[in-house]
Amino acid sequence: MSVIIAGVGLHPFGRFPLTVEEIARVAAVQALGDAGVTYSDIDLTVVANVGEGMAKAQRIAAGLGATGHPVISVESACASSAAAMLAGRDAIESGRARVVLCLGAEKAPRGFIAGAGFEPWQEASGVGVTPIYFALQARELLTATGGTVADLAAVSVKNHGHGALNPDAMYRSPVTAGQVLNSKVVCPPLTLLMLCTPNEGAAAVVLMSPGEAGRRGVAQPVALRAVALATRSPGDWFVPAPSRLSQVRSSPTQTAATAAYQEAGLGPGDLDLVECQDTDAASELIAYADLELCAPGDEVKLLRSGDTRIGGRIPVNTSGGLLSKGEPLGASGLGQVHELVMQLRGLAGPRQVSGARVGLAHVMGAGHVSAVIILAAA
Amino acid sequence: MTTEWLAEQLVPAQYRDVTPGAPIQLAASRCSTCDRCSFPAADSCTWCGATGSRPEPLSDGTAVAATAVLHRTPRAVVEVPFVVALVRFGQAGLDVLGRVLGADDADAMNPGTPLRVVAESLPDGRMHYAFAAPP
Repeated sequence: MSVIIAGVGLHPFGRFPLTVEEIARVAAVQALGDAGVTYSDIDLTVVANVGEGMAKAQRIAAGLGATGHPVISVESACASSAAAMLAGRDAIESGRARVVLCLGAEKAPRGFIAGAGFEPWQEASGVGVTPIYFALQARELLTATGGTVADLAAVSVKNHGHGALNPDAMYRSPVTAGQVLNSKVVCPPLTLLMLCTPNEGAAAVVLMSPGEAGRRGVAQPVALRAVALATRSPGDWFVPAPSRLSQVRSSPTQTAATAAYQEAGLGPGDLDLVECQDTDAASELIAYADLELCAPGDEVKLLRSGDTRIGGRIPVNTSGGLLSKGEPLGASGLGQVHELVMQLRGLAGPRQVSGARVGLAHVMGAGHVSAVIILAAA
Repeated sequence: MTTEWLAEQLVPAQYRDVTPGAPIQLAASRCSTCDRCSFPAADSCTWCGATGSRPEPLSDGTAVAATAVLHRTPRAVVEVPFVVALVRFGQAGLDVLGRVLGADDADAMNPGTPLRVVAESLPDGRMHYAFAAPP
């Protein structure tokens, strides 16, 4: 049984003089209105958030009303939103819920993301910091593909160009390769404009069973064809592991993508667009192969072909990606879903992908967690 | 006087009373069930979850990739900038992350550069492991 996305909502990503509850409410009210329901129609609310404390879900959702229905939180680092979609989808498919609100909201502190699971000795000795991992992955990618730092800059130029078309992005100005390469070096070869900014924002999705969506006459339904989430295998290496096996190579993204394609009954050739985890420029390129958009080793070739720009064969991060939107950790994945839904409804304005029918969203986070979601126009 | 280490479990006891810069070993473990190694050493295998392992010392390796930390990070006691490398220990089949002493250009550290494990005195007086080029 497919689950239907009946409504979506978004609070722009950036920095705001608002509480996390206020930001969340904006996205949730939009999504409820888009779906044609009220909060009293919701059977389950699943809140994705990383940084808040105890009873965060109940607190974040409190401003929506006291209806008595279950409100739960999920946290899987940068993949938290996808975990919310997984829980919401399963609640509907099991018959325990007819209408679910998935709500991601975050007010991330400025600067490096702390608390990514590092041991105190890693942090004290200076190696407990996430950009180190991204930089080392970037080095290995460039070595394996023959790419250069100019290719990393080109990812940032592409995504900032897309972000300039997105009024909800944090950074809405195009950048040049020179600006990217000359921005402050964070961890070589990565410069500041090759890395995303942790920030604030919220996104919400209303899920329904097909029967419920039909009964309510949902205007522009989108089918949730797959949600797959994978956690570490022996061949993975990601934040916060201080070591890895030398010879085995795998990725939770590959695992999640394989499962998602199987669940959806679709393949990479069926996709019209992709939103992927561009925490840094190299991570987007790594995702190209992990999501089977190209063969391993051809990541840079795919980028250079121009096919991943709007107007290309398989546009990637039409929203501007995390590089231009920033990353409110608990909300970022639902923000991707918001972008895909707008695209599949034909409402993405100047960044619209012509004839978009199928889209894929991908997130990956600390603890080697990766998730892939596939949506299709219903 | 016993030297205080940042994380004692990372270095076997016989290497904890050494002078800064001295070559030491890291305490990894090899699983008796799946034969894969873990660092830090673990009572239950990091990869298959089985209990039962034997020590697998790590001492001499080669760089896989390197970067640098140029800006002060939360809770770090070390001074910036410094170079960080992922170092391959072939016999153990493990790559381990750590700071590289005596290196100032991550771009110049090519894959395959020999590095060994040494003791480092941190600015707060505690000892920790690091990597350095062999003499």
